[in-house]
Amino acid sequence: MKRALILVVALVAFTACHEILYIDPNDSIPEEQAITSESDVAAAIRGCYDALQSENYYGRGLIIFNEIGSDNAYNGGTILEFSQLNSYNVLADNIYLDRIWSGPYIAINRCNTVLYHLINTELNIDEERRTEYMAELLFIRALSYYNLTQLFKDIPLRLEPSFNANNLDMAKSSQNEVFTQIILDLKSANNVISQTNPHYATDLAVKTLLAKVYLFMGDYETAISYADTVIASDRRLLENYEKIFTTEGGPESIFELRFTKLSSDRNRLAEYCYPTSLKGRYEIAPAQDLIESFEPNDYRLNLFLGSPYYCNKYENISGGDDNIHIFRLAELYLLRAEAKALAEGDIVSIRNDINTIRNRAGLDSIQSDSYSELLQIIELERRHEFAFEGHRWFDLIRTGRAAEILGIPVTKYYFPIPLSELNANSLIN
Amino acid sequence: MPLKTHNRLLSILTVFAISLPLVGFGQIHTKLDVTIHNKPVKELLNQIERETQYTFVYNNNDIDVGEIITYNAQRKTTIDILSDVFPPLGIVYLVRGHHIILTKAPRGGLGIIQTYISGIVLDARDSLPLSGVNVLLENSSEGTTTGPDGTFTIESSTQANSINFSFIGYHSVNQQIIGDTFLKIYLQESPHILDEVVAYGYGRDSRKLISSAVSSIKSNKLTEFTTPIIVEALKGKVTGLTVCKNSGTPGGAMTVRIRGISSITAGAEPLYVVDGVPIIARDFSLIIFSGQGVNTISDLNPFDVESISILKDASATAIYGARGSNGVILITTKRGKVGLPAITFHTNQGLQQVSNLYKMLNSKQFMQLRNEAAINDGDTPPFSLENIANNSIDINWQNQIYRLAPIQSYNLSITGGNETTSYFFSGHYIDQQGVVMGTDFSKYGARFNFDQKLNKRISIGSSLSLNSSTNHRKEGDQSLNSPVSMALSRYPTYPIFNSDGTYNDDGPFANPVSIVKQHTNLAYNWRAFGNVFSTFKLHDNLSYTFKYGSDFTNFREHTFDPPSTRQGAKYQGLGIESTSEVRKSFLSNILSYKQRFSHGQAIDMLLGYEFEKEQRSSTYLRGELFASDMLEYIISSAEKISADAFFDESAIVSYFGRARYNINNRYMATLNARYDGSSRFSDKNKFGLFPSGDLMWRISEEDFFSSSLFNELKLRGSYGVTGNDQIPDFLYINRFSTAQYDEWPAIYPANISNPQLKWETTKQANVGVDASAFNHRLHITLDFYHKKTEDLLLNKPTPPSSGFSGVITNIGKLENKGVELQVSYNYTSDIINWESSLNLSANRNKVTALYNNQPIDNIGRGSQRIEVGEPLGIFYGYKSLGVDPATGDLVFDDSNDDGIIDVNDRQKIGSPHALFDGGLSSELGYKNLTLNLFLQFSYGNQIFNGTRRYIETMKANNQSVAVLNRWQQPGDITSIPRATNIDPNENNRISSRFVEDGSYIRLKSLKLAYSFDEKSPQKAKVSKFHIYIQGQNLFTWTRFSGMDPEVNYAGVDAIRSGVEFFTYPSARIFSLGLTVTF
Repeated sequence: MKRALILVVALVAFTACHEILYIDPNDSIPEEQAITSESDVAAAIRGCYDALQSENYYGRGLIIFNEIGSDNAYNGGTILEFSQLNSYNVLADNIYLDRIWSGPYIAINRCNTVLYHLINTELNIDEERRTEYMAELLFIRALSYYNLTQLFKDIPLRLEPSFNANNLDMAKSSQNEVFTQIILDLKSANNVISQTNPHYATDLAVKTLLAKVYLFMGDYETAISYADTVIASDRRLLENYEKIFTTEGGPESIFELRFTKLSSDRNRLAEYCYPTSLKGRYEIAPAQDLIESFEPNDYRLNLFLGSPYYCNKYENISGGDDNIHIFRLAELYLLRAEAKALAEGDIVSIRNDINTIRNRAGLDSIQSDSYSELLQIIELERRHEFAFEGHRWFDLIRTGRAAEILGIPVTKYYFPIPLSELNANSLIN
Repeated sequence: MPLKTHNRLLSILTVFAISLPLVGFGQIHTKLDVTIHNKPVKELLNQIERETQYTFVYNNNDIDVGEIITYNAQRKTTIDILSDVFPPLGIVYLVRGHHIILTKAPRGGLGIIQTYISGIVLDARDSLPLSGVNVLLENSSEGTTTGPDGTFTIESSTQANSINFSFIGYHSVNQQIIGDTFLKIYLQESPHILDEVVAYGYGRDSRKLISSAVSSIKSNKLTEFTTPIIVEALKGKVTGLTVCKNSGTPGGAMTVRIRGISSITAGAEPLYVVDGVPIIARDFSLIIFSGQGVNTISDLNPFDVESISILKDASATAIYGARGSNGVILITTKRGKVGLPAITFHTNQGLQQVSNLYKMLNSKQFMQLRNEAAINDGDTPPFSLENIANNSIDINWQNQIYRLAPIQSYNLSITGGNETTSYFFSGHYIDQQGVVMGTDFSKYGARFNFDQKLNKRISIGSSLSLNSSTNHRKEGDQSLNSPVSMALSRYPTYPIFNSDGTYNDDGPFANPVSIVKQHTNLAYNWRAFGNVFSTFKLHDNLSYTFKYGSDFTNFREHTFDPPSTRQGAKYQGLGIESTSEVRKSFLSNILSYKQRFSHGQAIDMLLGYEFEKEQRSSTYLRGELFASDMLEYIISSAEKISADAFFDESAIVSYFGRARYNINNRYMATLNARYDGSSRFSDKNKFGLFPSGDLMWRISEEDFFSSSLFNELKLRGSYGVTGNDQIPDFLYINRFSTAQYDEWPAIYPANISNPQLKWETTKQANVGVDASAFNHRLHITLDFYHKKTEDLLLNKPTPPSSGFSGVITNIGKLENKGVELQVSYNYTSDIINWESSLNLSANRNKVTALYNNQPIDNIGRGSQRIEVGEPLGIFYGYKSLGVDPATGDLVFDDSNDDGIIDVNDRQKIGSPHALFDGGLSSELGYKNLTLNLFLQFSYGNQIFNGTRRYIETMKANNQSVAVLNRWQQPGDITSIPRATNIDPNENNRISSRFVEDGSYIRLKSLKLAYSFDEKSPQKAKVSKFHIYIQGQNLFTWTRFSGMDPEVNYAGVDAIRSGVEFFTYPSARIFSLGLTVTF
């Protein structure tokens, strides 16, 4: 009896239960089950906006590179790596350089992945909706390539998702090739998107980016025509400049990345801009030169407070729900003015565009007749209008004025490709 | 042949005599002068009874005490006298406690055919029966083991001359077979290392029969230090084991490595097995503490542990298969001892003091530095001469946060039992306040181990432990919540308080006093672990053991930064609540078979099946906007920022076996194998096979070996394969993770999968020698090993432009080879007892393959690097050539001579790996006093001092006094560059300037004890009494400039080791302790 009992115990115990070794994840979805319906596609596209929010991208890094990297700000905080930006000597092993490289590429890969599924996976989606989803993804991808090529010039141009760890090495494409792809993507996205919520891609956002890209490429006529379309739309300038930063999705917004107080989804710029007396880190401290360049009655100076000055465009230090204004209408006026000035177009309309922006800021109209003078005025207006919004470095590189204003050699116009890429990508050296 | 008989008996008696010191200390050493001239033996017996505590026991019919003898002796011990006098009289004596039993020497012992032998085996110390003693007829396979009552019976038809009794931990006894008397055998516990019981995977044996590389530590050595953390007690004690305290945080985790680092990405921590059950030993903190984590291994009370074995070579670890690569730490807890309840109480009361702080600038020096930096940069000096002259504030922030901190511990244990039931019960409480104000670790727990023999065939038992601990921690790293970092960074010119009595929090760095006083960071840990088991003796040679183990951990954290603190103000109060719960079930079935054959041959076999499942769940809540400083739970938060819950599980199924073949305890061969299946791997590679084997040859047992020098000489050799599965789950499939945008759920591709993923395998060869010489005084263990780890799970770096930084792949290879030497010597005389032990371990780690042999670069605060041909995690950066006397800036080595200093000029600037490390302990006993000294050392390793990168580079932080030697004008020759805020030359870059020699020798412990053992416990209430005074970490000889050369800012991370970064320093401890046994 006893032996029988023992035998039973032993048998039960030895009966191998190998099913236990087959466990499914609880916090993630196997890829083949991830995108199977239209709502999955919508969620995966939101995943691309999520990538734009990253603190390595619009959530912090891109703004810091444009502001500390230029003459707008210096690093007033404790992060040592930012001082390389300050001294225009960013080394390839700078960890923040690494992040500003990988941030946009993560967004690009997410876009490529969803595009792949939209094209190759059997999904029950209306054809028109499918085209619209694709346009949205092409826009985010183009925006990210546009940022990358402005930072690094020649870069790998990835149009396929990274599914397989093998064969990920890729050579650089020239800036021209990158722009060709950007234009191709934006052209296919143009006139497709019907939704108008500025927290997502809209047709106006596509056109704004087209205008910016053509300006960069020197095709002023095309740039002007896209700018005309956007300015002629229902978008309008807010009367009160300060309200731009406190109104969510306001009439001036063309593409505005939405941040919430959820801790996984916060914008840390207020924390980085605020002085320590207001519990911030003061990493991005306004340069004296920037403050002094404002005319005293400029409303836009009201966004700089305190002594020493700090920027108040982002003000939720605890919640971090300040939105990032990637494109807003004011830029199109100054963009059109710049394109026209460069194309030596109609002086009056250039002045009008500039004055539209100046007048809103409470400043007198300007009267200049000289294209070169106007270009300098536009440069200064852009500096004031978009201070701490992540434009200044790109502006100085686009206009080629960095050498003169920042006193740096042309070889420093583009950042070095980060060490992590050089080490892992055998086709770049 | 009576003479021969006497010789044999004499040899037994001599063994008794040698081993007696343990029990009869003080009696056998009493030296007598004897003068007997033609008088009866009785006279001698009377004198001995008078002058010692011995009494003689004998039967008058057998022993003629009237026999006349003549005997003279000067200053001879009782035993010496007995051995002189009795053998010629044909009298045999046996010492049993305080009794000396006299019996008539047998005559004609040889050649008698035995058919029936029975007897009882007793412990010579307390005359209690010993069960499980091996009883074997000489030159035959016939034998048995003693039962619970110590008795045995052998029926034999063969002719045998003698019978051998052996029991691990005891001297073997070879007894002549004489007539059919009922044998009464006393076994003497052996003081020799060779007879010490050593546990290994699924077995235990005496040290001399251990055929693999296993180090062991006994309970008395584990409680030598004042520490609540058991792994700290292992530091410096044995070869091949490196223990590094990650920080001085009370209750903090340690980094434990066995024979170097065998893995890069997967965990490098060993497997902990307590009473046969692998236990949960990790950090479950959800709040990041930068190297100051809490390891759940700290739930084990050092006073409950009987012994710890460190399994090092493949033969020892392969029986743990896929988890054996990093070595195994086997912990055996105390079990009940037969006898009256013995109650032991121990307490320790100590004070801790921080031993070494940085010296920082005072206000005047600080202001002058800032002014100088501004002038050098062409800016306006921030402080006027008037400011400097009138400044009255000068705070040394370090003095504000460190304190003299008490530590106290109490332990109570009760053990007892009889032949069938035994128990061990203990309870403990420990409270260690930290030297940084506001830090504290307290813990209490209980253990109950129980054994019951139901009958001759079935026994059952349990080992259960319940624990609870509370840990008040403070953050580390550079965080604005870290008191250590803020005390070094905050300017001396700011006051502690504002005029209204609130904490002043001006400036870029937070007020450390405000943090230590106001910041709450609590971790509560509840832990219940244990097992129940039953052993069935299915046959004399075959037994089956069933074991069920369970381990439950609940780790809860509560933090609150009130609005009045720097961190809290940002959020108007910030609170976090998190809970991690881990449940583990373990089931083990083991069949073991032992068979003895003729000519001393024996085979032991073991077959097992185990199953293990672990479930982990956690919740995390974060709230902001608190109503008041007084309300610190999230219910009072107006804004709940995050609420997460998470669950996952993993499982392992294992089959394993072992066969051990032994010839005469002279040759031994072992084969082990384990077949493990894990849920972490894809279908293709779910299972892995891990075989190993060893050979042992005890040369000293050979007939041809005759050496008066060596008592033991043993050669061992082993080879085998082990695995490592400590990687995240589900890396073998492409997955989408979740996020949100615009308050809607979002998904995104989270990884690049690797369907080929499989185990990391380590192949290890080991050769070792064990030797004892000079009458067991000197013991040497020497081991050489070579470990090659293949298929390293490595994050194969993918170009970041792919959207991923890497994919976990089996691509790397690395090797560890080394030498371990343990030498111990003991000398015992009547009043002096000296014991010394030195252990040295030298490990060489080398990475031999990486993906495309691309280095993995720029890891952590010390810019560490993994590169083929170099050890793991070398420091890699610019080589500083010193300060240019002309400019005051550092000159960096242009290693490629291209005229530009850029990333290509970086080079190896140091290595965190020691050339060798070890410990030296020495104990000197004089009468009842014992002086114990323990030194621990590490030589040849470098430390990257990341703290200096902040406090010696003229940047925003307050600076150390080292900057007073800074370059100030052209021509200055100094090692400290000029003051500057903008630092255009990047003097602060990661360079050899911050790499320091990390070698040290530490006087870890110095202890003076008085102890007293009552010889007749029946008469006294207190049987043992031990009182001591101890100093710990008294002195450290080092060239390292930081607070403590034991640093690991990144905790147990295998790569980012050897970096100092605002680490909580270790304390010096003075304590007083007392142990009383009733």
